[in-house]
Amino acid sequence: MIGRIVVCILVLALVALHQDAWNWNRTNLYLGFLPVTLAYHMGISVAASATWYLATKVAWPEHLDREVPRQEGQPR
Amino acid sequence: MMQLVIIGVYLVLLLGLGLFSHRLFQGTSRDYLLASHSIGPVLLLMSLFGTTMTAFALVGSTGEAYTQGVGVYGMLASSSGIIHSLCFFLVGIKLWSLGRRYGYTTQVEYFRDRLGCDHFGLLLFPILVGLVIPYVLIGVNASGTVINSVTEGTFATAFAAYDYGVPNWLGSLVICAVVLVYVFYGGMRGTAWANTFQTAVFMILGIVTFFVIADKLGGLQAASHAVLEKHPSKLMREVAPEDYAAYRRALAAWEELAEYNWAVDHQGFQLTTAQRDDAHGSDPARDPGWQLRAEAAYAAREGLVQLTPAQRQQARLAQDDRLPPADGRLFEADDRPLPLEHFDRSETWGSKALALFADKIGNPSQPLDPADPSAGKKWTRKRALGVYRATHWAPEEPLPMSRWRFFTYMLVPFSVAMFPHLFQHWLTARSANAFKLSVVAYPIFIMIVWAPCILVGVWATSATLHGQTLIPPHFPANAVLAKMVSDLSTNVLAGLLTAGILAAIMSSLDSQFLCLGTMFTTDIVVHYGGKDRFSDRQKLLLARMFIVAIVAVTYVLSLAESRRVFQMGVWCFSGFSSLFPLVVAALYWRRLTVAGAYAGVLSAAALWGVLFYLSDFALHAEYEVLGIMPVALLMGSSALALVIVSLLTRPPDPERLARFFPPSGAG
Repeated sequence: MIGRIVVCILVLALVALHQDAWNWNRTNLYLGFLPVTLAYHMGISVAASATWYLATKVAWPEHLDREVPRQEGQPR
Repeated sequence: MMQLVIIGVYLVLLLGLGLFSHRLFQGTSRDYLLASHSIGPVLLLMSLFGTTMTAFALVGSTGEAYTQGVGVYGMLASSSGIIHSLCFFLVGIKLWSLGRRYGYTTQVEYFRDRLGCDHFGLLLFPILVGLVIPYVLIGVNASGTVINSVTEGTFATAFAAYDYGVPNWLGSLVICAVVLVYVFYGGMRGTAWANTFQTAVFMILGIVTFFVIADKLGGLQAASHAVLEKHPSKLMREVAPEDYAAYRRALAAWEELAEYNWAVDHQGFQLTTAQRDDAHGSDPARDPGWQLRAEAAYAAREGLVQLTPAQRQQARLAQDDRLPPADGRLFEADDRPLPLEHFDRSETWGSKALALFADKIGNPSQPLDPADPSAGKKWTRKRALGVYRATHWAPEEPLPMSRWRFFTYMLVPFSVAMFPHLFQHWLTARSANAFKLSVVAYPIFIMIVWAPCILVGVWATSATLHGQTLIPPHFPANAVLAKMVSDLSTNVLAGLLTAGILAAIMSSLDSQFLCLGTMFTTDIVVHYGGKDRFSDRQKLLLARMFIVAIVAVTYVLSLAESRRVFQMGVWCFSGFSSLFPLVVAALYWRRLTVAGAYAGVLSAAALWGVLFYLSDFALHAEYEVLGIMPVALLMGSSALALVIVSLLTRPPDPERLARFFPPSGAG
């Protein structure tokens, strides 16, 4: 249960961080070529992936695989 | 010709893959429609990703970044990375579990069973099919456009109306035929294999293209610094003061041109020979139409053209090819001129443009003037139209990205939760654990495809080749990627990238064709004909026949109307998003009733119809309600109606609920 709550909080945080009003008028280039807005949102993509990785570890509905009928010859 | 050969080889490879997957076919309808629930994590990820990424991921993202700047990544890509995985996690896995337990093949089957109401399927079925069809048409039309663009000048004399390239209708026909063959023979397994191959193709080619273009522009840093110097607004979501100042200057020059042309056409105004020589001498520019602009600037500078406010507004309309209003109204109530967008654009502007440049239009593989190689090649019709737009129409005003629009756009990706073709792909998973890789890798995959395209689109705003601007004003946004590739890379790479774009298109079309065939077979024929009436072999035959019919119908529809289908995309997605509250309530809320489900779907459908009408049937591309995307209202109204009516009606049957919310805590 705690795992699910943590994942919920992280997803809501991602949604909030996605609204980056502070970057709206910034034109800085990271590494000399990457616009700050793009770099920030690529960071959001990576953070989203990390959050969903955590979800598969602490909030995954493991019981679902046990509930479906096994097919003949199918690995479980 | 090289590009045509590469496309041909790619399509043959794809057909081979489809036919190979047929050898693994087990001969049952379940294997044909759901690959016998045998798809593992990697194939599931690649087929889901290939299905959701259409041509828009490559072509559209570049074009949108060219138009709106880097903010497009946040608006469309990073938001999808969060929401798509959320939908797989919350909706996909649960539906997979229920589908495996109760043998569903389509969404309509699930909702009929969950709500215990057969008639609900009659409401949902046409809505789902009606929302998928335009989505399919986008792919069919885009495939023809892409093939035509890259084969311009291939034929010496044939297909002049198509710039001597493969006609759009023929390109679309070939793509439909190839997809039909591998879906017909391979079914869902063939589709999954083809999607995996095609997803790998468009991801790899996208990255290769990015580095080749960067290299041609002087490297990553040089390409981005050019944008910082010329169009800093494209690196943020506000409009930079220097960009707005440049727009004001361009607008002033354009108004001078409009008034000069109007005075010449309607008042018999003429510069003397001496004045004309003076005007031409003072303007160093040598772009198309430079003489007229120089004369207009000269006339304005010398105060030679004097027009009344009404004449000035008429001059602007004429220059922008706008139709004069039937009621004669040119001004707002406070005497400000009505904006140009208020007036319809004349449909004859295209023929006018082609007539104006008739002496330059021809086969683009032939020289414009055999005696003067420096004059370049003959113009395509597309180029003539582009030059006309750039030299005649008003400059486009740079606009900041609205924060509310940015925020509410995040609701559009919720559409994946109700895509019928994704539902079918989810059911192919071997186990719930097979979803894990998709849930985790999706945001990264989106980043790998979108980030390079966004940068290429932004670079296109400021790219130059041999000192000349590469992309002229008013250039069609969806053609930016093709133009960058054709001008900055080799024929081989252009051909390969075209194969990549077609891969993205076909990896969505195949799933959509298969799911529509499945829905007609399962939800209509078998459901109303009786499950026991058809043998498994007959069901398989029916599914295949429906797939052939659907491909034929969508192809014919694509020939009839292509103007609006691209603008329909967001409306289709918004429609699917408005059904998100329904699927979440069905999966997680015991109190959902049939009446509540009807209320949710009907309120969303009614509001969708009203807003679609108000957006001028999708022709108003930036349509918003109170500054927010229509999808926010659609989802809100659907959720509200669903909850209120469910709470006001009798709770559902406990026995039925027990099947969907078992006491083990699965719900």
